[in-house]
Amino acid sequence: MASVELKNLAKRFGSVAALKNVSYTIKDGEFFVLLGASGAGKSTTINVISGLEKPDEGSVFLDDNDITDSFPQNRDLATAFESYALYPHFTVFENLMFPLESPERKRTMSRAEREQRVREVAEMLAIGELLQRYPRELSGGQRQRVALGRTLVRRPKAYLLDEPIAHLDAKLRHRMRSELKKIQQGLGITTLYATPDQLEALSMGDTVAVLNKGVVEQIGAPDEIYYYPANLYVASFVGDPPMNVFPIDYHGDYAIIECDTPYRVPICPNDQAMLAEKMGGCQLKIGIRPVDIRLVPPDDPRAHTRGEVVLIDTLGQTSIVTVRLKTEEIKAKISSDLIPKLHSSIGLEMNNERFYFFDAATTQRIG
Amino acid sequence: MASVELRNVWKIYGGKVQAVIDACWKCNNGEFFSILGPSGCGKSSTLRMVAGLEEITRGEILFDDVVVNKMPPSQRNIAMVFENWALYPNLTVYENIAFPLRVRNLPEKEIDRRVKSAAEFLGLENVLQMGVRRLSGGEMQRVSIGRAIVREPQVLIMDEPISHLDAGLRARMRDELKKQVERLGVTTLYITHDQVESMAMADRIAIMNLGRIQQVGTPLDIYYNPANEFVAGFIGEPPMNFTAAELLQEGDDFVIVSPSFRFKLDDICKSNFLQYRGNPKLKLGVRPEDVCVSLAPLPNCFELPVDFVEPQGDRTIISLQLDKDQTFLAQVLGNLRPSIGQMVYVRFDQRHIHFFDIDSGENIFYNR
Repeated sequence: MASVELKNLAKRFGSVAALKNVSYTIKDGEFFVLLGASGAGKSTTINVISGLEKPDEGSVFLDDNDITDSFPQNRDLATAFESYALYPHFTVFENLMFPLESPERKRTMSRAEREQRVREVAEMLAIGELLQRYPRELSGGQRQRVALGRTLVRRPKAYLLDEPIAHLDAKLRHRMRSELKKIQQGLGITTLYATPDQLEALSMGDTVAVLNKGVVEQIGAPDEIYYYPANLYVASFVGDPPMNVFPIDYHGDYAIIECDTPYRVPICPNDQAMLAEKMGGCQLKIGIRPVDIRLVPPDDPRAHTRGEVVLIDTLGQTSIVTVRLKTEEIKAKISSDLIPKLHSSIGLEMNNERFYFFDAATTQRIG
Repeated sequence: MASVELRNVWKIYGGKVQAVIDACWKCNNGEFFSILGPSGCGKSSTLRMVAGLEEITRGEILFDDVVVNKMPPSQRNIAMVFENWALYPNLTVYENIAFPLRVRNLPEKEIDRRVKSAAEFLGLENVLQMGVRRLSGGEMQRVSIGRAIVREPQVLIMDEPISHLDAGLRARMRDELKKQVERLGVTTLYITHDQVESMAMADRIAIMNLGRIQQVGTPLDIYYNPANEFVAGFIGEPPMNFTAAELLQEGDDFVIVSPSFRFKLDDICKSNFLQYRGNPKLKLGVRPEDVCVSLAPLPNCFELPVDFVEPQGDRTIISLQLDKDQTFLAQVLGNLRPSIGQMVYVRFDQRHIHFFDIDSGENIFYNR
């Protein structure tokens, strides 16, 4: 086990900067999630740490040793990639056994121990029944689990996992999420986990780093990322459906939300005090999560604005309702018991205890 | 536009592989109808038979109450939108949309009229002369819809049109697609393996498994009143919890007992069971959102240890250890965060618990 530290990493591919001056430390034993859209620089980060890619600038430390220039095989890291290269002529068992067949491991582990390890990992990944099959006889999701298993049979200083469960169906992904987290907690091995899925990041990470076009937008515990997003990018990336964001004209105890049909919302005293102290006369944007909007009858005095219901997405117990003002739209997440009629007129009541405010120019959150 | 009806339709490959077994459903004129199921369930065979690309082994397919079994694909006037949108990369948007009309040798004037009207409808007027390579994903999707609708089809078939996209983009495309189809008002068959897409978009859903239609209904009907264990487990995320349990009568009370918990049925649940004479051994199904978790005792509750906690912003998923091999998921508000190993008090919301036959998996109280 070890801590992994990135210091001022930069990496360019031609004219594209994949990583721009990235620095952070993954603590010993931590489950660290790198969250970002495709092209954010997640895989580049993993490739640089594992040694497959050389950074243009900066260094990588494993504990206190600078490993920037050491060979991948000397780093004692185990990597699982999104695209899985299994040995087609080996069974699942043999594929999983392969990393344990090095002369050194054969010296330190008996055959029985190695087989035991393979079976344990296969069990955890729910591929215990498939050990005698060949990769061509497996589905994409099964192959991905074998590839992940080949990483997890090892006990390296750190695991580097690049979207390791992206190809599983929703149900299995949910199960694998908790299995993986349990494995990691049990072993206590430092883990870097890259994913574009905010739900995975929130539910698995001890710490989450939100990466955007090669820049770290925020690092924090999942709750910090969700409840205290550093800026508009993080606020919109984390949470499903994304936060509703509009420019506002701020007047102290109320604000005018500037959209095609401007409307007024009251600002709670806490936010007034906070803004008085911190906003310093900047232009503001307001962020309202869909869960913080209630649907009320259009003529209800509680309605802050009203519009037409243009879309209803039923998710089961909850539904996402899209309300169109004139051209602009607002999304609310509500209980399915309260679904309005499509194309009916509806009022929206914003929960002003849960507003987010951003500096329109810098996009940073104020508060 | 047309209605599409399947009457006892079978597809058997090579005399033995039953891909579609006795399918019966009717998609009404103008309806957004989704065929949902895991891979290999028979949904693709179904759509191929509707499109006329595959022979029907047995049964009848009707468009607007007319049997089309023998009608060649070209006469069925069906337009299809595929997963990869299959646009011609070196043609402009205009030419991509015009293509199906050129193939039909329509007069230039008519082609122009139809392409422009489709482009206007889909908000593509400003990109008509652009190559499709320069378009955003959303625009490409609209072009592929445009190409499908210029033919003024009776039925629009969409085969996993957005399954391959990233989660965020997929949600946006889903919204966009649903709005476009709704405005078009064209009869639409939407094939997918993703229950979220079906639930969010469809007027009605036909769920298939192993070649058989499991249930046909509106999204909420299927969600709250699943016909069987397969449907109950397939719809909903995180999935429904299942465990074997036994119904016991104790005086006037009915109780549900398993090795890990016992609870008393409330009056509504109990009244269902008053007439029940079946096997007292059942399978209990409870959705994670109907598992209430509390740090303080609740009436009619039981205690379970916490196995795992997943914070997800405004909600938390808690995995509860039923026994050595079984866990139950609970979906609770985001501010509840018990620690692993902690004992918590658990109760089920009995308005929404389900009971399935332990052998057949049928919902014992289906449609009651």
